[in-house]
Amino acid sequence: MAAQPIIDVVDDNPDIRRMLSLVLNTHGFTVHAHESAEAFLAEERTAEPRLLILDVRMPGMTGLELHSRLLGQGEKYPVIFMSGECQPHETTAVQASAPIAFLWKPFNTQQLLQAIQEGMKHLSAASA
Amino acid sequence: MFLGDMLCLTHKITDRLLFLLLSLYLLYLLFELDRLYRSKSISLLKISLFLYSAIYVNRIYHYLIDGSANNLNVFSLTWVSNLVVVGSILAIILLCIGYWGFTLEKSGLETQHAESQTESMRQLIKERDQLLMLNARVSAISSLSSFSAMLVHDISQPLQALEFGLYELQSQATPDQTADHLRHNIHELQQLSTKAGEMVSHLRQLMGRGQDHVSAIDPHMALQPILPILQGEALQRGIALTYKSQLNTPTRIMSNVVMLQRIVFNAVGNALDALQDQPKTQACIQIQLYTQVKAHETWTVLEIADNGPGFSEDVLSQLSAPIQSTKPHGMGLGLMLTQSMVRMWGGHIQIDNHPAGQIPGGLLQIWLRTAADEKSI
Repeated sequence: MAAQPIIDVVDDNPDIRRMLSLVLNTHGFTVHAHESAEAFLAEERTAEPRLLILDVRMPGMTGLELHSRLLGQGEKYPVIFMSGECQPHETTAVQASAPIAFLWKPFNTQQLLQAIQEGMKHLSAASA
Repeated sequence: MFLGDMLCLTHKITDRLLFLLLSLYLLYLLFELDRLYRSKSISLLKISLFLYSAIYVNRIYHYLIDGSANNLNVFSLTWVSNLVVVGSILAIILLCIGYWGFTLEKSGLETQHAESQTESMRQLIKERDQLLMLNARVSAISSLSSFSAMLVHDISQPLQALEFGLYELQSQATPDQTADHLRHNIHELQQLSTKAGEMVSHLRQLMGRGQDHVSAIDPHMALQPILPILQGEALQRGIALTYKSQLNTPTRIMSNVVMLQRIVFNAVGNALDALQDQPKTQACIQIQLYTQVKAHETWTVLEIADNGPGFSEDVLSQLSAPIQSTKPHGMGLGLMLTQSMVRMWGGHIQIDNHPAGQIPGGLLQIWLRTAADEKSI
């Protein structure tokens, strides 16, 4: 039996972390919420398949920088980016990183759930 | 003897001819002058010289006709010499009146010119004021657009959380859910909605009108809506921004909330730009509010200090010099506008660099008049 995938939410906004965790938990997902990219990196990552939901703009390390760093370390996870505001160069960089989805806040929760389903398919295909 | 008489006569004729030529030349000059000024007084002068010339022409003409030397003498009591005397007196009177009139006219013209110049100066000052106001608006829009990105980001957070919460609430709205549980969730969503509403309210306030209204305001409260925005922007740039109010009791100052916020935006924006390229371990900006007694009067001082490169000599000198700004971001002009605005509120500003020996950096102090029983003006 395949291990239950984990969804890592990295967002500096506590309201977003709390509410998103609530929604995803209700939908049966295992959620790990992190207040910053540094906090995510500091936590030991277990062997379960992972899907990342990253905020692009955060104080300190941004979501983009975190993604690049993980790729540099050979950790390839399906990623969903979300952002409330982006500079054009950040938008270009997000799109170039081939995410599952790039969602502009405020977005419809259904869009996120669809993107997560898409990410789960990637994880299934990778583990098969 | 005969030769002597001849010489004397020749001398007299030459004299009269010279007078005549001189009068005619002066007449010519007056015609030229009249072309320039078109003055009635010059016409009077022309008449007087014309009269004078005519008298002399008549005199020489009669001498040439009858050959009598009496026609050349003034006091020979012939009708020709009498005409010369009367005509000369009349010409001199006309000359005096004409000259007096011309002087008056010229003086009037100069006054008129000076008045028109004063009016031009008034127009220029008015245009300058309009330009300053335009610059203030452009500066405000510029500040606003600089921070609008931050506001958009901040507003999107509670809205997104609200969306998640509503979605969750919808999925929980089943018959077996207790009303208490739902009430708690609804309360949380209301708080998020309030957060978004407050942000929109702050944005509206920043864009609002009524910037000329001066009233007694609480500076600490006035700064509250903009501090999170400034701190967020500073955080993004890796700069520490601290705020401290040393006002022990609620203090009210004569000011305008929107303009005071813009002034702080502008000042902190300048400090952030100045610190941007500073290779410092910890760039920081300190905003402080405190009271200080100066000249037997208690003032409320809003101080913005940073540990950047400080103000340049150009900027420091601009506050005492006429308006001029060649700075890339118009920092000097921004300070001039700040100074004008604060003066309008009865206060003043001081800018300086930290004295040698202390941590270097720029220091802007806005001295605001503490409101006693003043009404809004």
